[in-house]
Amino acid sequence: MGSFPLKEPKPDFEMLESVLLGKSEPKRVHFVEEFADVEVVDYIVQNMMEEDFPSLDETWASAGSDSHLLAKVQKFLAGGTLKLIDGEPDEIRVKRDIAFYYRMGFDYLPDLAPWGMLGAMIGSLMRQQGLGGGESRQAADTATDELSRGNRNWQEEKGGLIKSWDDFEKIPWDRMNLDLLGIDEYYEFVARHLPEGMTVSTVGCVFNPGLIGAFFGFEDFCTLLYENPELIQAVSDRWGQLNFELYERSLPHKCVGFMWHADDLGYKTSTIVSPEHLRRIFLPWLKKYTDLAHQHEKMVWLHSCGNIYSIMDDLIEDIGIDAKQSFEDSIMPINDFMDAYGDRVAGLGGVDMDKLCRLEEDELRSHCRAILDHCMPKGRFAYGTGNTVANYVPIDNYLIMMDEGYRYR
Amino acid sequence: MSLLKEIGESVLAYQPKKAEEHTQRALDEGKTAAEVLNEGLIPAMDTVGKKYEAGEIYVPEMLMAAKAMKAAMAILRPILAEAGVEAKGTVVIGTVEGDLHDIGQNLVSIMLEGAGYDVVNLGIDNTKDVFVDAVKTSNADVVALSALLTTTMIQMPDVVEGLKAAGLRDGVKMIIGGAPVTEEYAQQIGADGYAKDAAAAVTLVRKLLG
Repeated sequence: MGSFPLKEPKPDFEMLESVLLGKSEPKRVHFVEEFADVEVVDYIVQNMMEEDFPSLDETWASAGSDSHLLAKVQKFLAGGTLKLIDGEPDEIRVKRDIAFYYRMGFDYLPDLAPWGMLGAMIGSLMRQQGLGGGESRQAADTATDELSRGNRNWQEEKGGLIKSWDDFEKIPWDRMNLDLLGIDEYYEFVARHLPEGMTVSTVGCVFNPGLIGAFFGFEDFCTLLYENPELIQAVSDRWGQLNFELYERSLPHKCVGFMWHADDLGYKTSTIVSPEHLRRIFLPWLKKYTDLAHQHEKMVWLHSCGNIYSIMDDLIEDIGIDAKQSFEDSIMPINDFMDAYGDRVAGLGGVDMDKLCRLEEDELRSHCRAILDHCMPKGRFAYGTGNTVANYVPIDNYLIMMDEGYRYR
Repeated sequence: MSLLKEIGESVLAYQPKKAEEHTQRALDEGKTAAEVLNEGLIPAMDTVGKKYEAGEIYVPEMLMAAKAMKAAMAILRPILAEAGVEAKGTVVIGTVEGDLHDIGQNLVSIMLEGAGYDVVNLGIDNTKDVFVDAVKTSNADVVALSALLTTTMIQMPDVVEGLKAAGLRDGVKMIIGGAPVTEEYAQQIGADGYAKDAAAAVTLVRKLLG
């Protein structure tokens, strides 16, 4: 499994786009991920790459104790900005991530930073107003020691920050000013450091973990759908619009190659809420985002976990997504997806997380080859994990998966 | 429409207030608590389970139906206890160690209670010893384990071994569920069954307890 990190990567986002849109036959396997966990990025950069980046401990701590972000948030709450690039740790993060994804053979930089900063802005303002709830649950991280973050954060599922109209009225929506994020400067910085042939993704998320995570919590969201649907609609309108403005500011940048909208809409057996509720609350926003991306002649990839096949026709025909990612073999393996939908939309990733974590090398290689053998000839396919490179995926298995893709002809 | 049927209809219409009012009225008019439960609420929750399994309703609707059921049960529970009416069985349920995702197991709890079982819901992040103690103290008929992640699912065999070591495994049925869990995995670790969702869990428990 010595192929990665690549010595001489040749990123070609234009070719990836052409393959996914069905305009070109794939000449090689293109790799896709929504993102790799920071622990995975750091481990590979520190142990397998020659580039000299400080480790996470030396720059800022991993998830949950990000001291640099906390300092920026404090400055923002005191009346300052919340700029994406504000000091050396931010610059290091971007440069390190670019180096990682470049050397791991990607044609683009997966990037959640602007959306994450918008979330930090909103969360901090709401807590400043005394709104409580929605805190993460914590348990010991089950990842291997070298990639463990100590504790794993789990989404609170009971309730969130908003429980009533009183809570809604307390939210200082007018202070959620995207000018304060310095988005143009951010993309100018990213563009200066991206290798030729690479672009960057722009990511947004409205429904989950937005509305049913931090804002309401899943259980409260479910009951409010019946007991106070107007409150849900009001928050959806505000939050959906903020995501729209984020896309409005990112998509015009030349370095932004595509929109990767990430919203988990399903679980194992069905959509999380009914298709009718999704059509009322969420899909109109996704349509708006998709139209905006297409106006900028940029693709829309949708990440959604779970069984969302009851709305696939909505997503493909009515909304017009260009690619779908996140596949679980216990729901619909990527091979079956490509058979069912591959002539209308691209399939991304597909190596089931459970298999990626637990199979022995021979079995994993064989599983990966079966996916490549089935999907590559069809076109409109790019290869990767079924979800993300989570820190609980053994590094060796991730590299085996990548190696099979690299060696596939 | 009979009053017992109206109680069921209020559950199916997701109306907790009406379920409460109709239940009280039924008791005032001489119905027993057991009649309200067995002829009004349990058939309604059965219908909820069937609709969920058929993809006609979703989690929000199931939670709203459960809210209506709970409103009625708040009135019935003390009366049932006083009358010595026994549940159909006891189920201990919880997520395994390291796993903090409990929506799925909460839905299973709701549906099992709606089907007339006593449920000991241990909540999240339970070691094998917590499961063993709960099975022992509640004299459970079934223990149900839930996990969201591949990396937490692997705690399930430890619970099996813990129950064996405590001499409890033969006296309790074990069922498992959760996103990465499969029928194959249930067989592999020696569980008695796997349920893909809350409605299937009720069907499985009924089958296992006969």
